[in-house]
Amino acid sequence: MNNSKALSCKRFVFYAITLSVLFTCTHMLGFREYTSVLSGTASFNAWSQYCGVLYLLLYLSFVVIIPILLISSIFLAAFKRLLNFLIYER
Amino acid sequence: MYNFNPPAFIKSLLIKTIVLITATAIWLPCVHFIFKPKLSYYYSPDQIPQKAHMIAAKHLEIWANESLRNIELEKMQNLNPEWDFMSRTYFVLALANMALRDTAFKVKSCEIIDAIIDNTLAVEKKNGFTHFLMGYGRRGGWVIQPSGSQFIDGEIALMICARRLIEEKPAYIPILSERVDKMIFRMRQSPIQNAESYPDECWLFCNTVSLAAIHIADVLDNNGNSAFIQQWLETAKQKLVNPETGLLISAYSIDGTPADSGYGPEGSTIWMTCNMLQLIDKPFAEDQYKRAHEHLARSFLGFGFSREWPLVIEGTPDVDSGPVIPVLGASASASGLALISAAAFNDTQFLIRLFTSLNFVGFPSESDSGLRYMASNPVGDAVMLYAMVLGPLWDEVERRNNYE
Repeated sequence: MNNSKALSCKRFVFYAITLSVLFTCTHMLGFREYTSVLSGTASFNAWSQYCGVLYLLLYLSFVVIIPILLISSIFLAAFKRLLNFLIYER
Repeated sequence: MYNFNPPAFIKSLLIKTIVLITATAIWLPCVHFIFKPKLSYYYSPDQIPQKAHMIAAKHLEIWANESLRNIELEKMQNLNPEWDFMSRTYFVLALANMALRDTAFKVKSCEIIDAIIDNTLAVEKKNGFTHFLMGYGRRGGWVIQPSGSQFIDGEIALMICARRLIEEKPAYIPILSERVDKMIFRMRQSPIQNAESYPDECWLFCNTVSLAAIHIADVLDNNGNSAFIQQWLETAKQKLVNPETGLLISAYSIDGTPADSGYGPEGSTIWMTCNMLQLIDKPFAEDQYKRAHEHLARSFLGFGFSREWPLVIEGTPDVDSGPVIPVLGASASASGLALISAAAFNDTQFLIRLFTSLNFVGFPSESDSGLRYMASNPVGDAVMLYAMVLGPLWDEVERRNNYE
């Protein structure tokens, strides 16, 4: 088995960066203002409501999913180093 | 060329899945720490908390500036006329509590409260009481005559009561007296002493707000309505309690038949009701709070929220509940109103969890002009403000009641 591929943490980091960039873009574009869709009090048009939902999903990703991806990538990197140590150094 | 190797692929997938599950198990219980607030910023038994000052600043700006006020009120009126009205009530209650907490705030509070009350009375006079009701309130069919809405009468009376408790204003004495007489006259026509807020639709929320106002008016003007209040409480305990939970139901016709719109207990009603009942029957209020806490208050990974309906009751999301999160059953408006009860009953554990959730999904936005929650609206912000400062107004009623 190709351990380096199986335990690659690059993809997790890539996902984390992509989601972070997307979240930052929506934040900079002011989509946060449309989150009143959450309480059902939105007075905006349908497009603004989509913006609100999109911001909400990316925000949840930023707070919940990105840290999980990063923790996972740290674990995978550590696991990979441990395996390499066990196989090649001993 | 890519060489697909099933055992290696499965091994890789398995390792990554285990790692992801482990990371999730580590991270999820930690998320609430990011949003957990310092309680003293939001709630203090004797001072005006920092965040309350910031929310109030935003509302004061709206009410101090006529053109801004007109824009905001029109926006609210277009969205939901009830929210326009309720944002006034909660803001007045909050200002009254702030004025009683800090005398430096008294003059400003009275000025703004007078502006709100006078504007509300003027709008009601010009457009009729249905101006602040949702569409179906304008279709007629009122059972109790003369027609009127307990929602409007109760909250206007409570606003005036709050103003008079800060400082007496003679011009409001006859207005309050007339409003109280009207409410009691209408309530007496119902076999369960509850008046309609909408045609043949009585709401517990509105009737308990009205009772609180009637009680305060008693304390202020010696009206002698305590026997009526006792009668209301006895009837409610007999006829308006849901047998499965022991909680008061939300909506019913004037004879007490549960209405489709609120046939069971609801978070968006009961939390506010507990706060109102505190003024007229403390043990009953505490009992209702404990039951509401048992059936509606929930905590998940350190975040607090309120369900709109107890598990044993099936409900459908409506304008009162707002969107309800599937599985958890969390409702934005029930959770917002739960802040009021948690603060009123000094339930700091639940309060911290609710504020943690508020910081997580309320999207607070602080600027020079104050603090507002982007996921909320003026009525939601006013509810939060009231929850942060409540206490002194009810204490003042009790003090005057005991004195007399």
